[in-house]
Amino acid sequence: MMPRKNLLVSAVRKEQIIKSLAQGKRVDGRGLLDYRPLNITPNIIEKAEGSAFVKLGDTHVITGVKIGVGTPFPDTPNEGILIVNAEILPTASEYQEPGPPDEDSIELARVVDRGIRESKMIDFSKLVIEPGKHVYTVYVDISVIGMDGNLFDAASYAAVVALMTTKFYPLINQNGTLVKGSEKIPLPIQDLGVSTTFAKVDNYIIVDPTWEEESIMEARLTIVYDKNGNICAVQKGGNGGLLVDDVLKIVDLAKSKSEEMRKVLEGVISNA
Amino acid sequence: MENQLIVNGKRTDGRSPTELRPLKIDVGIIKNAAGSSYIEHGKNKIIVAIYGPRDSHRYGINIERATLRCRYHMSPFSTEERKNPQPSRREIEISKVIRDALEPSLILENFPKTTIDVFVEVLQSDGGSRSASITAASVALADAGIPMKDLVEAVAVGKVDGTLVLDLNDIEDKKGESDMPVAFMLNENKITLLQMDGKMTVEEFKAGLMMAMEAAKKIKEIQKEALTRKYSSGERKNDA
Amino acid sequence: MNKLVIPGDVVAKGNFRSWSNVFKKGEEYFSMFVGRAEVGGGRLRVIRLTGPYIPKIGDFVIGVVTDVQPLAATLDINSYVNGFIMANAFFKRRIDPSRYDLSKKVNLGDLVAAKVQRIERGKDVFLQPDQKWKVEGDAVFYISPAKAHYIYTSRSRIPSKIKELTGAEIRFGVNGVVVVKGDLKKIEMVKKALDVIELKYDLNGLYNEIIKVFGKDGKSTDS
Repeated sequence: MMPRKNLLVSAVRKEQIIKSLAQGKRVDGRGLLDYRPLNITPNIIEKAEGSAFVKLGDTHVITGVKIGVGTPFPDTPNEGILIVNAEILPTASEYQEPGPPDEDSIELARVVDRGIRESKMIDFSKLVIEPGKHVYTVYVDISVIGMDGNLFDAASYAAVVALMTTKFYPLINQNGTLVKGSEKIPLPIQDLGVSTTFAKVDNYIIVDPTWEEESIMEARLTIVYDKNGNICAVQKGGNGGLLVDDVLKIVDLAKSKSEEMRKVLEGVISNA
Repeated sequence: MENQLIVNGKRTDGRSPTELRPLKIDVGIIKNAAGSSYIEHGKNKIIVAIYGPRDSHRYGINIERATLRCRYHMSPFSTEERKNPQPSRREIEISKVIRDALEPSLILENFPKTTIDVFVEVLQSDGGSRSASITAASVALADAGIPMKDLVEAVAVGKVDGTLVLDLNDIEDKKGESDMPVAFMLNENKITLLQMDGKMTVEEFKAGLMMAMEAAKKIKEIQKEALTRKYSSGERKNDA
Repeated sequence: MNKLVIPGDVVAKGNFRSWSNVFKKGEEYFSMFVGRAEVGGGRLRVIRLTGPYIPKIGDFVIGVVTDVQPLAATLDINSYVNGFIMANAFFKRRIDPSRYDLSKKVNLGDLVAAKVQRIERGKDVFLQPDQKWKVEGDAVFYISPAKAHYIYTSRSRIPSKIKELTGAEIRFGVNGVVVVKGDLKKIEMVKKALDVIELKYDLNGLYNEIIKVFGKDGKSTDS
């Protein structure tokens, strides 16, 4: 038998969570539209060019950025490469087995990737050393250390803060050989996509679900907004459905929530 | 000389040959785990989570005692060059020797037919990451309430520029003449991990072992202090 | 004497009539756990401060039903082993599984109260359902099994004091599962008391710490 992948919440506990929501309060004391305490520490890994450790309640995610050199893809000879990889480590929960990334890890990596790529966060045309030959490869590696729900937002915040605070030695083409520059430079950042995640539990829309809430939810919706207020990535998750009205409502809620979270992220980055 | 690692009795990081790098341990950092710890030893930054005892599924069941499993894994961003996230042969060997270093300290007969997992994640690596992993894992096992005879602590000694040195850093590990990680169960006067590569004379080997044992006593104090900090105050589990 | 000990610490020397959670080597007794050591009256014991719930015959536990088969239900009892309740025990007589359907009696996710009846080969834990085995309540909380065990075995007045101070109906499982019946206000008060148990490690002081949270008149001191 495969180990259980999710929490089995007792019927009493489920009732407790829903009754509390009816009173406008989560079981951990939060309001329906409050995030858990968010604590972000940038530059935690000196050996990485960029890094951030995010604690969103008991969800702990660390992301490292490494800059390498690669050959551009034939169809984009004048663009650098982005590679996003995520692993939900076996440290994260008792249901996580060691081994190659499972479908949850891969979905997580792809959703974070989409948020970075589609918000045009990085100007990849500036990450070219020699067109068609050498470009920078930006590796974003996400490790989920502790799991208590809403991995998407935690991973996304860790990734964007790590990218925004990345500093690396440029490589300069000198007569055909690549030479390391003398001063570190930041990545060519031009936007910041902010992810927010909502879940529908019973009839209630809540933000930043815990693991327990996710295990009894109908579905969840992650939306990434760019700085101009455009939606640039969306992912519905969970094995239930959302009403059309729910989606319309969440889109609006996500917009104002993402503005709030954008300020938090910008504050962290400016103090880094 | 450019390649000299010890100048006027000082090492590349300013330490004397018998000095430990700064070492810090926090206990109980992962909510879901039965026990957990975080260690900073030099530039090593390592997280350990313990899961279990729990049902042995899929893995071999031992009807007399718990099965100890260990995974030592390096994050892709933990090294100068990005590391492929897939476990390397080196990581698999280290996983095994860490398990062999910890197992003698544990009383596994209390939990037959179960598995105890030790998950080590190296967030940033420096010289001596396996030693730091063992030191941290032993604390995490105590935090998980796995019965044990004693804590286990580990440290490396080695030879650099012809001098015996304690607790090798990255450069010393790579460029020195020899490296010998050792783990101890001090109460029992036992060694539970011993590896060496490079060259040493018999005298150096013996002196090195004693040097490591003296350092292990200091490390044990830090382990005990970390556990005492958690279990004597009202510190919340996830504040570390 | 009641002091914090770490695995490998020498708890005491000499001769004792009984001891627990320590191992003896020569004249010395070493702790196997992070715990609080109690020495006196020829007895020596270390009370664990952490670790899993270790089932003992006679323990009153509360579990969550994780599987229902024709002949038995499996319970998550917050331990390294599962608990089993045979269908016969639920129906209080030997039954023919083709005529009696256990899944009509218990459902996945139900909370069930039971006593540990026997443990086979150190691992398979068989439970006897309580008279009132279906646990109904408005809230469920988990506390550290090691502390839950202490609270029960030390004959402390903590469970009855929490009931008295909060006015809630509470069922405590030795395995650390606490089920509360009452309105939201009562639930919050119980949670506050349980938080004290979770955060404090000075076991002797727990009782007074809990009273302190509710103030002199038994009302909660913070808003």
